[in-house]
Amino acid sequence: MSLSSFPYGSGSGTPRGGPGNAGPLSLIERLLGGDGLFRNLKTDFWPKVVRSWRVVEAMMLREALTRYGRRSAGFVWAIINPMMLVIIMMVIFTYLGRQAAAGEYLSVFFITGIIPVIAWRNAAVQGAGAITSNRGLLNYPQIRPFHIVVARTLLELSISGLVVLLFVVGLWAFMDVPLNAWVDEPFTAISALGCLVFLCYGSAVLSSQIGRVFQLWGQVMSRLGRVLFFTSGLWYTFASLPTGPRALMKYNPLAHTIEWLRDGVIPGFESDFYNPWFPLWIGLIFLAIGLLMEWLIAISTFVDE
Amino acid sequence: MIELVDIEKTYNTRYGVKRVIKPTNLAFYRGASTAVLGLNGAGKSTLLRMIGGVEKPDRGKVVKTVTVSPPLGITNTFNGALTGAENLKFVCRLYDIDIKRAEAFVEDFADLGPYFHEPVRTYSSGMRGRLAFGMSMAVDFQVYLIDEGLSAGDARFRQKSRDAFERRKSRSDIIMTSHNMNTIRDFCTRAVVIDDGNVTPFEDLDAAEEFYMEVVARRR
Repeated sequence: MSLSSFPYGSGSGTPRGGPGNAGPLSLIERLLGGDGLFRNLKTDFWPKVVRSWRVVEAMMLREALTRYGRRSAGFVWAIINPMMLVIIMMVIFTYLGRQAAAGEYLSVFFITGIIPVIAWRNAAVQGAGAITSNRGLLNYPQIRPFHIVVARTLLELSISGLVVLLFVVGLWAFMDVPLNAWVDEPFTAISALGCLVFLCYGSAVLSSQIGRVFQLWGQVMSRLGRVLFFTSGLWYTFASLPTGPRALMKYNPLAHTIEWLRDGVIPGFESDFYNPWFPLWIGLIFLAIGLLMEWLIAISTFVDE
Repeated sequence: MIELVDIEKTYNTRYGVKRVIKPTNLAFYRGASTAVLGLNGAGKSTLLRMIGGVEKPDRGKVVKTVTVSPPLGITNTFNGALTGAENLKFVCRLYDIDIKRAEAFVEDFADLGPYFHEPVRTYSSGMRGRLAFGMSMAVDFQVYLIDEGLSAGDARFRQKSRDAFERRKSRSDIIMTSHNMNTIRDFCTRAVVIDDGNVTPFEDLDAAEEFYMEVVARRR
């Protein structure tokens, strides 16, 4: 088999990571062992991970390009939009004379509440249309709903992360909010963030499967997101609520995550009200139901519309 | 070699179960390009999708020892908001091939002119077909699955595709569906005819056409 007369050779058309395929490796592929870091692990586990990552990477770039357009203005808008929401609400609360229910800075308190809600809502709303709007891509055997949902969730989470970073730097530079106002117990904060990521992913998976069978799900989801703005403790904590509403708030996994995050982030704030297992369990249950639905759809004769 | 071992496929419809492919054993060997003939809705696309690994048969398995392209030609894999070049870049990243060279190849092959850098939603169906075909040719597969992909192009493009396949004949084969016998004779040397779920292979195109015409006449 000669490749010489070919316009260009790419081996046998198999994705990189297969045997005998040399080429420049990206950093992440190096980290994942594409360069033989884990060569003694005689399995094809790492090549599979590398291949999956390559699909997710391509999907993320495609999604970003579709959603924000070719011009950088689109991407800037994606960042400015949530920032404006946060700033407007913060201005309103400052004029109302609200104090932070925990910690010294209203901004830190508010951002640790609103950004998780925005991230969760966007992941779930984007998840709803993930498969339906990309069904043509499922003609590529290497692209599965898993990759599409992971790509969309990662994109949403990275934008939220970027927004937080901009706030931290901006508030430090212009509002004299010190950087150590953002960290109290790093391990607790990181666990809470991990839990948030998992909850977002589980919700996006479930949302994507419901969105497949129920066309209007995306709209339902964005209404539901609005409800969560008022019930997730953006401007209050568990402790600052009377017993009645507090009992209701205990059923909101996002409220638990936010309280957990604040426990880790805000110096001097400790909370005994949240249960870290609750949002983790909800995330796991959402994920399990989503995967069950995917399996049921796969063995049925359902055809995506 | 692609082997279909005891595969069977049914679809549930509102009016009962439709047996698209009745239990079938079939082999596609190297060095011969195959046409898939059948009436509309006979299961041609389903067969291609099962070979491509997009759909699983209800029973049996598809054994592949070659690399197979996705069943392209159905152009809904494009994102209409993205340009032809951007859609191509996505496929390059997916298959890990050099973007610059692929772009140069497809730009020349699909002959889209300035439209290569315009959103795909502004394309005519012929342009979409050419882009889809160019894109799958940009990746080096051993078997190309082409689902009506060539019927969109004009005579000039068909000639171009034929030349391109002629050049890689030693490595690559085609499995294609088409309603145009001329296109089929340009590319294929054997055929399978799907009729009422029965898949019949023919080593000779004339015999296949004769049988297919019988099927058409019977259904008229």
